[in-house]
Amino acid sequence: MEKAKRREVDLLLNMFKSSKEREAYLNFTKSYKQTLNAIIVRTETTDVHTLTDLAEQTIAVVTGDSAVKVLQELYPGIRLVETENYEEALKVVAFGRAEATLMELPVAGYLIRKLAITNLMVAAEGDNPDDRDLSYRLAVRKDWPELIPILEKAMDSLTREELTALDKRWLALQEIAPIEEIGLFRWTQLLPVSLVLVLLVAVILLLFRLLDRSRKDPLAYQFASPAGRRVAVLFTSMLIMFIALLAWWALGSIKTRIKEDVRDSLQMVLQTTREALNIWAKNQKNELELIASDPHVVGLVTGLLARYHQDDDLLSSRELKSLRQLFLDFQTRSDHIGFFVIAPDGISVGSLRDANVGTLNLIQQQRPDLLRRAFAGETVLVPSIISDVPLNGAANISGSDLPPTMFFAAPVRNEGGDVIAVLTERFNPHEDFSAISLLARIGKSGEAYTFDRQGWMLTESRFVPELISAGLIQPKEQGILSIDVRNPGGNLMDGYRSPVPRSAQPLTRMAASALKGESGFDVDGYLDYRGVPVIGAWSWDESLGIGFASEINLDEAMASYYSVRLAIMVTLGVTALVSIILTVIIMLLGSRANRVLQASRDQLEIQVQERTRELALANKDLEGFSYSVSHDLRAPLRHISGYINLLGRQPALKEEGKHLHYMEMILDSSQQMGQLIDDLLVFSRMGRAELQNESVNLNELIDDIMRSQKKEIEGRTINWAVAQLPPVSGDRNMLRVVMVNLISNAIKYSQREATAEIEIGSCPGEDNRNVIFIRDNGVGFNMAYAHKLYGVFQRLHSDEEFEGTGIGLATVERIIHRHHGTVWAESIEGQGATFYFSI
Amino acid sequence: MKELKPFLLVDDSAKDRELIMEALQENHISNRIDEARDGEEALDYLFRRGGFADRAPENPSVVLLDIKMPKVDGLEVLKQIRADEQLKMIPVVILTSSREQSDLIKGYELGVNAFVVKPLDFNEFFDAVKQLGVFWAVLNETL
Repeated sequence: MEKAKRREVDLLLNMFKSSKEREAYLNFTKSYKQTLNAIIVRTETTDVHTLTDLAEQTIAVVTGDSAVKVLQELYPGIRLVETENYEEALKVVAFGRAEATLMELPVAGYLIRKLAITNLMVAAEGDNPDDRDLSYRLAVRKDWPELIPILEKAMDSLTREELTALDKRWLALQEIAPIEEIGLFRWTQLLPVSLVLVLLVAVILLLFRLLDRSRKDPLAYQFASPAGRRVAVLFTSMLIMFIALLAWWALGSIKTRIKEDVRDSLQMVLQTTREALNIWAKNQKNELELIASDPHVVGLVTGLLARYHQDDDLLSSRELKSLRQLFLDFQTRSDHIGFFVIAPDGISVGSLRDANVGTLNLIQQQRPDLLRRAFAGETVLVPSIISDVPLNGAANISGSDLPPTMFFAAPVRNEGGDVIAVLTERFNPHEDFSAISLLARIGKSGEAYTFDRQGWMLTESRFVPELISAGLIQPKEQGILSIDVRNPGGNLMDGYRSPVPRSAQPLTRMAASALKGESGFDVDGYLDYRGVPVIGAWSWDESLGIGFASEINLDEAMASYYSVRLAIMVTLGVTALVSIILTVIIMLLGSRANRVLQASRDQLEIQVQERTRELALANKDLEGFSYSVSHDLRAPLRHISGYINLLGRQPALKEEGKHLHYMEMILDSSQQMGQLIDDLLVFSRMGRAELQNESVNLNELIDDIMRSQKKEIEGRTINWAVAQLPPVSGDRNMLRVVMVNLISNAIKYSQREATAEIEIGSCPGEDNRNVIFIRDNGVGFNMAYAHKLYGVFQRLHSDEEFEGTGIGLATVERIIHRHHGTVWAESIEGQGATFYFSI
Repeated sequence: MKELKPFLLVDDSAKDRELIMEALQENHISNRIDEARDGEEALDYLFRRGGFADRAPENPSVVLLDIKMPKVDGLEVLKQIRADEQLKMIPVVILTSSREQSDLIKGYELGVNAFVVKPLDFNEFFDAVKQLGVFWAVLNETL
């Protein structure tokens, strides 16, 4: 730099553009490398966004970092806490000894993950204009300004890849912490999504194939067919399975993530507690060491020991008084509640309390190993042991009337450096020692605690009231040295009481591992000393001889997971239910539509069959009709020609009368022919004529007919009984034909009766129809032949008995059928007949 | 010579019966001709019931049967003749006014011996009856 000032050097590398002073003799290119581009702060810090925000703050830096000087130059108000490395720097910030630290973003990300620190975040990163001063530039002599554009041009010519390669070469840390580690997005995350997509496509293709294969059936039938139903059910269940699979996968990853988070938090708490405890212990040790090495104190201790060896009265000694005064003074700085001076044989030669002087020290009684270490020259922490002094109002150790107590023990050396005695300072383990761990609680159920080699708890439990009500400890007792970290096998908080005595219960999963000297965690849950399922992390501090545990109830730790799971389950359940209901509805609708379709098809089929049958019947009728016509229409012609032939063959007729008879027969035949043709015409007309629908008064019709039949009933006795008939609707002319035929039949077939009885009446029929009947007392007919009544030319009597063409009833039936009615008859041979028709 | 067994002529038309009788007479058929006016009467005659209950117990030598008749038609009569042990050997000739195919088929199915179409040409008709009459008269004489 000096050389540059003197213009002996033209170009300087990796320069910060930090001060006005530099700018006086140097020109700077634009920055090519941002250093310390991430500002790391605790998560609760909200007011730091740029370097400038840190101007008056405490910053953790790594000793020797090139940026340190720049920072100091830029922000003279800044306070720096120097650390050995970036890890330390992060911890310092995490524990609150500094507000922020600066480092490369990838380094920060990697270390935060590695240390499982959860209360840190990146407040600012990247190319913040305010932070430009913290980036490397090239600097050239002020008098050569033309160099700047040339250099910048050269810098621009470097490609991104080349820059990255350079970064990698010079910043080896980035190799350890590839930037992908921090990014939330990973290519592997695409795998399940693409798997799902592929499966979905496969299912759709399968569905199409299934549909395609059954295309020979009409779609409507596929819908309700078992195959179609199978496809629908298959598709729905696959969909549900799909969603379930997806949910299962999502839940799994959420669970893992939450467990990781909880684990990180627990480890963080564990580390914090351990660290805090260590710091506190270190401070106490340091202070005690200071006292123990104070020449004045050493002199006092030497004096005490001398008196002890000479069996002098220690209590009234000057040295004890001085020491007591010294420690009472010292209490203002340290929270100790007493001290011991312990001779190498374990006898207390000095203490605040008279009763203890000259007795075997309680550390010697309970933890001789630690005392030995102290005599070996080490300052040690003596964690909670049973006190020798009952304290008024203090909670005691379970099963005893003494509270717990704890010490720090430091060696006292003579001028030659030999340990002549051990000086201890007594503390209440419920004070700082427990307080440190009690502070490190997370949530409602998270706690951190310590325990000794036997599994006894050394710090106070978070759950003393609950433990008292569970009976694990008695009221007015406290947790330290009262509770051993054993698994009762069931939740004591829920009222479970183990049949096995506490001492025979196994250590908890955590304690079993920690007491083997292992550090670890269990995020799947295990029962803690209360029998409550917890997630925990633990470690063993060999130098302190203390185990650390950080635990949180599984329920609480996984509460967010459970709520997410509930939400997903409910969503899934609703989805499944809805899709099932929809499928069922669609299938029901489908089969209903199908039924309708099928029904209408069946209806059509029936109609077609009916029509076909009708047609066949009509065809048969026609055949029968033509058959009858060929027989009956031919008969008169045959007769005529037969009789004419007879006339011609017998020119000289023997009997005069035969001629006349033949002629009569011929005439009769021709008249019959005429009648046949007339009747056929009527029959045919009644089939074709358009139906006039009008209200018809049948009684009027009957009166009219009876008048017109006068000739036929001349000379006969006929008793008419014509009831008042209901008006009917139909074709008047056609109904007239019906009545004419039926009445003339009644007259005709009753002609042999001396007194003919003819009754015309009505009765109600089916479907609001009227039934009209005409009853006579004539010859009647055999019911066996009733089916032949309505056939064209079908007769039940020969011509000789009763004349007729056999068309009348056929015409009647045809007319009634056209009125959608029916005709039937009842008769007993010789007793008359009744003809009914409904209209 | 044994007296010839009668013919049974079944026809509902009095005119047809008269014409057939004339034809039979002309051909010197000496058999007695019994008449029935419809199928029912014919069956009464054959089974000797109703109005024919006291008829002598002999079968006609031949039945001349019209097809289209009231109540019971000729084919039904034929069927009953062929179904009866006593009657089934009686020769039956169906007299028909038409050459209706279905009548012929049904007739032969039921075992009719001959069809004689009631011909419009009286000569043909007479020839048919003549042939038949002679044949049956001769057949009868040999019995």
